Amino acid sequence: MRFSLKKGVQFITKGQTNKLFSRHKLNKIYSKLCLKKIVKKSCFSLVEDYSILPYLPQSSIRLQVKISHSKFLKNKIKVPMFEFLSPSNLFVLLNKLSKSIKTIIIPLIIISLVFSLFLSPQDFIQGNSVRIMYVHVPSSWIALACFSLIGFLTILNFLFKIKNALIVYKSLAPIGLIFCLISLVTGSIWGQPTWGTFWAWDARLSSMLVLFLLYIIFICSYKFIKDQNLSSKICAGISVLGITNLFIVKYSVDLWSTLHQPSSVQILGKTSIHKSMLLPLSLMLLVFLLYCALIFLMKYRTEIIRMKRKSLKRL
Amino acid sequence: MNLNIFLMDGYGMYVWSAFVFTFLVCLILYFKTRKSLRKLERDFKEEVEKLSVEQIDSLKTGKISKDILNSQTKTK
Repeated sequence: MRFSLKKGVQFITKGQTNKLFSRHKLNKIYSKLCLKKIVKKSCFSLVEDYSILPYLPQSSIRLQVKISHSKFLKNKIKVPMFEFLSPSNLFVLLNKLSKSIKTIIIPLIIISLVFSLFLSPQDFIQGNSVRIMYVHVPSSWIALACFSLIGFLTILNFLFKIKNALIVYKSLAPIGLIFCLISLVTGSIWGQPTWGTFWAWDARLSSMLVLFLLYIIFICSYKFIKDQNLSSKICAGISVLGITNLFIVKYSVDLWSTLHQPSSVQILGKTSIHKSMLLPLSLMLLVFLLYCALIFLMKYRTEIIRMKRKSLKRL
Repeated sequence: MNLNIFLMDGYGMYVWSAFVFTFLVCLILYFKTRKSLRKLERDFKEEVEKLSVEQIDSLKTGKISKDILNSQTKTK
């Protein structure tokens, strides 16, 4: 039987300090745990158990393991609960998740398209052009949400050097960029029949354009700057700018007189949109969120393989 | 067939172009991501094949490497 690292950790945390193992197995646990810095040499000691020696051949002398729990707890670096969130565990789990998303996303796309293009009612003033809202509004929300998450993770990575945060924000940035582009283009298309122009330099539109440019600079800064420290510093700087810009995007319609209408859907306040329009909007948001999850999982996998390839060279 | 469903009282051009653009961009991103993921997995497998038997054995104990190598054998 092969003795895995996980079993070794379980063995220690369950407090099986006096269990008997063969020398071969013990050596394996010991070397793996020490190599991965889960325990230090000082908290792991082997004591030969001579009581069973006469009954066993020389090659399979059994040993008793004694682990000082206080020392282990003091020196521990990883325990199973935190190991669950490690990229290796998430990697396998997220792969299964992406397969299940793929199976439900296509029927959901069809349902949401039918609702938004054919079943939802026309607007009293805007007529059928209101249907653009079903792609424009969810994509804007996702673009804003992505950047706020990226900003938080970038600052977290800059302060605490969390590698997982780095992988997550690298996987999220292209998704945010694409949805920001969709929001800008569909907004422009909607602007032509509603305002009579594709583009106006008003506060909401301009701040969204700034967000789009910040996304591009952010992606370029981690793609083209090889020095990781410098790149994380620049990313953190861009994130601070971006987060400030998010507030401008959000409150631009309230602070300045703009062509863009104020928000109709509010989480805390009263929603002024009718249920018959809210349903396709929610469905489309769900589809976009599932799509984001799918792309995120693929990008996350890509980033981890990149990391693994680097470690292959060290083998 | 009622053509007005597609023409949408003259707004069809705007509505359809917005929807087509959205789904086209999403499809492009999806296929681009999938292509780069598959290429990386293939390259990873090729690099693993160049390693010695002991190195491969130690690599296979890791969950990530095992999963990448398994997914590669399934696609072939």
